[in-house]
Amino acid sequence: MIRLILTRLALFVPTLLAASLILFIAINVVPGSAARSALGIDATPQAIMRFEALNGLDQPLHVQYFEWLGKAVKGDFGRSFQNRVDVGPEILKRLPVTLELALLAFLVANVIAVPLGAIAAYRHGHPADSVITTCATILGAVPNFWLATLLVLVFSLKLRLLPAGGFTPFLQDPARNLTQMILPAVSLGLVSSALLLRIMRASMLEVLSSDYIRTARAKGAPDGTVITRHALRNATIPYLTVGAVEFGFLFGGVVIIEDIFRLPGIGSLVLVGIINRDYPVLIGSALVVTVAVLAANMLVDIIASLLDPRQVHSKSGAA
Amino acid sequence: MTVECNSSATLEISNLSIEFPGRTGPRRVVERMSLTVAPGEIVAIIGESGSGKTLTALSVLGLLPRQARIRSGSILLKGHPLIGLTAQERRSILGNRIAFIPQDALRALNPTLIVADQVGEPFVLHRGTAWAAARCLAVELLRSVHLRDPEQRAKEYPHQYSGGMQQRAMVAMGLALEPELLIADEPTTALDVTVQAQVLALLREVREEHGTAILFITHDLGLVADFCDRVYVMYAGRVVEEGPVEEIFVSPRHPYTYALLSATPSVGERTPELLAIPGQIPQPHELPEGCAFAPRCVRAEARCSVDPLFDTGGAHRTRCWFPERRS
Amino acid sequence: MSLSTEMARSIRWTWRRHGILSIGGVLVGLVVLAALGADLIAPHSPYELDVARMLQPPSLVNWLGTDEVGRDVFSRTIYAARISVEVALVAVGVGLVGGTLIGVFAAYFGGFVDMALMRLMELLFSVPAILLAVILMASLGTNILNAMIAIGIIFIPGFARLARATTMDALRQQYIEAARVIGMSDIRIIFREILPNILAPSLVEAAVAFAYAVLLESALSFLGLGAQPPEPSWGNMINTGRGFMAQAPWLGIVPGTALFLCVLGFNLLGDGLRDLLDPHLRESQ
Repeated sequence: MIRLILTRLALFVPTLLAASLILFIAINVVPGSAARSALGIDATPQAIMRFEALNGLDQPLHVQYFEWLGKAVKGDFGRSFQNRVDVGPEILKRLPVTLELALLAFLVANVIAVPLGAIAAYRHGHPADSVITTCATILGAVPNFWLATLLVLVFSLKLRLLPAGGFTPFLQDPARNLTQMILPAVSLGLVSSALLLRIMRASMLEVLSSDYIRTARAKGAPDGTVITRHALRNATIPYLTVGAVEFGFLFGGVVIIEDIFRLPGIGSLVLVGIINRDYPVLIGSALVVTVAVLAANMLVDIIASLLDPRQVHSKSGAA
Repeated sequence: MTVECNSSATLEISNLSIEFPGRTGPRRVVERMSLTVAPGEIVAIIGESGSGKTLTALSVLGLLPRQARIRSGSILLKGHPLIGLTAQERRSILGNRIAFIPQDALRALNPTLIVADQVGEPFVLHRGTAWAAARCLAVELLRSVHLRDPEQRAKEYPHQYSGGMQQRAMVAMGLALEPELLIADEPTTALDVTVQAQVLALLREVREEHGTAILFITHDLGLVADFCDRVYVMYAGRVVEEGPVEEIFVSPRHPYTYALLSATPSVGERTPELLAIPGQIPQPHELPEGCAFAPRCVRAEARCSVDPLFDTGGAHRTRCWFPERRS
Repeated sequence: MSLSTEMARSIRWTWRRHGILSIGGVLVGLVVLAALGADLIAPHSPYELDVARMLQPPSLVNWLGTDEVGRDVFSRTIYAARISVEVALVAVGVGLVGGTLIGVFAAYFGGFVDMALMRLMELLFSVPAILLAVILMASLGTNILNAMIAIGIIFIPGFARLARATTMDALRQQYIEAARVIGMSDIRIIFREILPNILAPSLVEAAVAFAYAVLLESALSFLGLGAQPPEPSWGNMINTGRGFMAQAPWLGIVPGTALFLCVLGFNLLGDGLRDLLDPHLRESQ
């Protein structure tokens, strides 16, 4: 079991490095953009050169990369070009917001996808399956930012049930925090749930046609037992493995959702970085979001493996 | 034909016909099949794949694929009808009075549950036993099927067992509630020869000690010769010959049985491969009028375009207009 | 069997097999029609301001109302289709062509080439798509062309992976060996033997990718990083509509519905194509 976790972790680090490289390249695709953005269009070439020298932007790219990476690993993400504030602590302050959003969205998505997907598979060939699958197909095409807008229209403006934005830390006022998080979490999680539902359904269908399900029925097990004791655990394993990718998409959506609901998380920090052309803020927050996505991916993958006895226990001696 | 209620027979199938829906009409895959298994008897159904033998077995269990329909006939377990049961009634019989041992034991075992939980499950399902007690009972069952170190094995997962161990675990699972009937669908096909022998010896023990009736589905002639009391030979969904094993093997009367025996190198040997009879088993929608075997039969004549009836040969009967004379 | 039941049965059979494809096809057809024929279909100009008539609800003159500067929402929605289709077309084109070539080359030449190219693809995969898109737009500059390039780049690894897998399947077939034996050059083998056979699954992937491209483009415009005003894009229309949700909800609902139908159409098209081609896929394996 330990070996399993360690191998996954071992793959995690190079993937992370690769991601950091891609981000770095993406941001530096057009040379000189950082300085020009920070200083404005009228900046003189001398001002640009001075700025670049000051911030180490005149060095060759690979040197910049390693310097940045070296500092980032220690938690030093530099200072914002806008207001010279340390980026690192700002990211840390915003991290819990994003994590809470992602977690709640993840919960919403699974609470919908797992039972409905299982039911659809179980009732394959009956109307219930068609209805559920059709709803999932339709829901999966809804853009999450549009859904957010519609939810705000209905629940905030018309019904006045939920706030349209803002954030109160959980520890400060749990009730208010949750009412503020409902709409964002639903916007993010509902659309993901559609795809996850289809994955769960496919996984369950495959499991339900296996021989061991027939064995369970041949023992006289009632349908409920067949599903809960025999089918679910087996179906969850491929569900998590395949669904891990979707969890990544879900996480990527925080960038937009945080913006819509004015949540002070890392996603919105990315946008701040973009709008202000604030290069350290942008690359720092983008990296942290990516780390979170990859970590979530890896975690789900590990959980899936741990659920599978074939991966955890090796073959013992035969008799 | 009236059905005699022979409640001394453990299993009695009469005129069973099963069909599947098809684009051009229903396809008959089992045609008026009848068999009986007495308590303590080991009866084999032998045939190629596609002969309907597995479907017959599944119909006894009520586990036919969803599209299959039982067109006619009856299945009686100690005189009680098995067709037309409610789901609850069926569930109380399965695993309890009838047990099923499928072909591929590894795939028939749940990979995410320990063996003790699976072998002990029948107690929980039918006797309301608590799980802890059920697991203990499972250990004893594993011991009774000669698994070494059963306490340890019980806590393991199916993939940690060898093929033979897995099949023995399946037998243990089937025997848990001392069923009256055991249906074994090619239980030894996936195993190598020595392990086959062990599993068969185990089944024979079961018959000796509990008087369990065993319905044994196979395509392996050699196995039937060694192991079974009576045999039904199926071809294209029909029984073409039935009788005690010694008689069938010594003097086969149906041309198909005869061809089967000739194709096998030696009756004592067991080979997984079977036929060298020219032609192929017809698809259900390609069945000829009359005798299904006629297109491949060396004895076929014009008369064979009418479906042969069973000759009244007593225990050893065959469905052929030109059966071999009994020696 | 009577004629009517015969017909009913065959209609139901056709529906079951091709229903999804048909609906998808219809929706996609509408979108493409809007994109191509915007000039003919749109009743008003998408740019024409008329501040006196701003924020009008749907009426006979403006079928879906007017926006905050009096432009006709219906016309703008139609023209926005053109932008979405353009961007998606180029992006999917870039991804399909680039990715397929990379995947085929990697599978065909194998060894070091394969490893190097696939490592590169994995690098691109490791960053979430939206994030990468947003960053690329920020550094390249926010205009439609860059959106096309950025999204196209993001699609390349997906197509590459698919092309590589299908090429590896194709390579195991006899006709490749035959072509080599008669002395066909590698390039010719690739273009004449391999590419036509791996086209089908790539097209299914392309349909689905189209939907995702439209979504990404809208997300970018929504954030202000894609099509810039006064160019209408469903994304930036939804964004503007957000601000007027209370007094003029149609501003956000209309473009969103159009976007939703477009994405749904391409998803269904992809699903339908996959069902259609699936038996063929199995045959070739």
